[in-house]
Amino acid sequence: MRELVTSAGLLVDFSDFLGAVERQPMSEADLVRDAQRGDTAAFEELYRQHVARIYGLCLRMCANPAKAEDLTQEAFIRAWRKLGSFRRQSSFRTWLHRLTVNLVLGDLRSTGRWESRLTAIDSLPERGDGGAGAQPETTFDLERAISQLPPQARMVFVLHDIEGYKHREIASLCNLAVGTSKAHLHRARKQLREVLKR
Amino acid sequence: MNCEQVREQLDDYLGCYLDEADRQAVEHHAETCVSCRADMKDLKNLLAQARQLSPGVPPAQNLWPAILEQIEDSPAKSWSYANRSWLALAAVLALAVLLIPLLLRQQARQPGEQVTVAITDSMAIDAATQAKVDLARSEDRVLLVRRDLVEAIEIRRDLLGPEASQSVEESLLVLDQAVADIQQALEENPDDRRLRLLLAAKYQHEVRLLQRVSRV
Repeated sequence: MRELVTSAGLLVDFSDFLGAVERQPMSEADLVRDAQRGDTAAFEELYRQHVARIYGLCLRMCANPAKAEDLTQEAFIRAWRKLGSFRRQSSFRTWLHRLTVNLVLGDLRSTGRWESRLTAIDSLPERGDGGAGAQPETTFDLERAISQLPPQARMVFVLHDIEGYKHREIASLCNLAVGTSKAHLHRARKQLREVLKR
Repeated sequence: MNCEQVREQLDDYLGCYLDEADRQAVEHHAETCVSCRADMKDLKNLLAQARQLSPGVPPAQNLWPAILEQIEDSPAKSWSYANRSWLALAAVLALAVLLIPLLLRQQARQPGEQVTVAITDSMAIDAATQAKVDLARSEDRVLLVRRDLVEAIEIRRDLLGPEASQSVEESLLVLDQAVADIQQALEENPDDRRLRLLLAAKYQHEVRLLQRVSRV
């Protein structure tokens, strides 16, 4: 296709023309459209653009790196299978984010960890335990403290205070009353403040 | 508001859930109460730290190979030609039936000539007949049409803007891939009439694309 012989017998070289176009990065809308047509290369590019955010979300929501990897993988597989239903009424990022939240919530419910009891603050590891040494101490402490929150409080805190969801949205996603979502957030914030003060 | 009421409202205050009157009441109390002001500061610090957390955390390992294995193995079904729903298949067949005669008639025109084509009942009947035409013959004709159009495009090359260039590139890549996929499928199932019609439709798409660019 890049070199074709015209009816006048001339060799038409399209390399420059198409090569220049190839160097232009594709927009997200283009990638989504191509992925919807079955282009796994386009979907791989979408994966590369979003994997860190999706993994970060999974990690904070389930507080388990291995589980977070499994859920991230499953989120992208599920996204691929459902791409046909993505109608671009929201951004791909928002759509993928919600799909992931629902996936993690479903996993927590199915494994019974959603209703687990409040972790006693006294049982939390002392400051400085664990890895991630390259992170600033306050950030590391906060990440560690979040991971020790009870599942529902952690979920609401992550969605509300990190991901920017509103209580109404969280209530809808998690099948909670708005008041319950607020109560979980209050408990999470209180526990985090106490831990970080130590 | 007293201290207890303010502490109950602090979460909503910082989340901007309060109406104007309650918001002012909380602020007014905090201005005069050292304890509540300290609580508010504490909470603001926590939220500031939370906002500073990086939203992205790269996983320790590359998850793509495992994902690719899964999506190649299974339900890319909705994209697979063989697994399209009957409705989609019907649409493809209808498209192919309508496009083949356009494709064949296009060959008879002069290079770069702009043509308005009306699809009539007789053409549809004609198309049904033409759908039986040997695919190799159709391919030859497509190549002739494409060759002339490419020549016309070459003459207008400098006039192509970036938008048109991008459109051409994207479409050609998609069409090339689609044609390659169908050709491969045809090698495995040479008698599959649906695939032959689909391939003819893809060729026609390609011609239409080049035709569009040639008019720039």
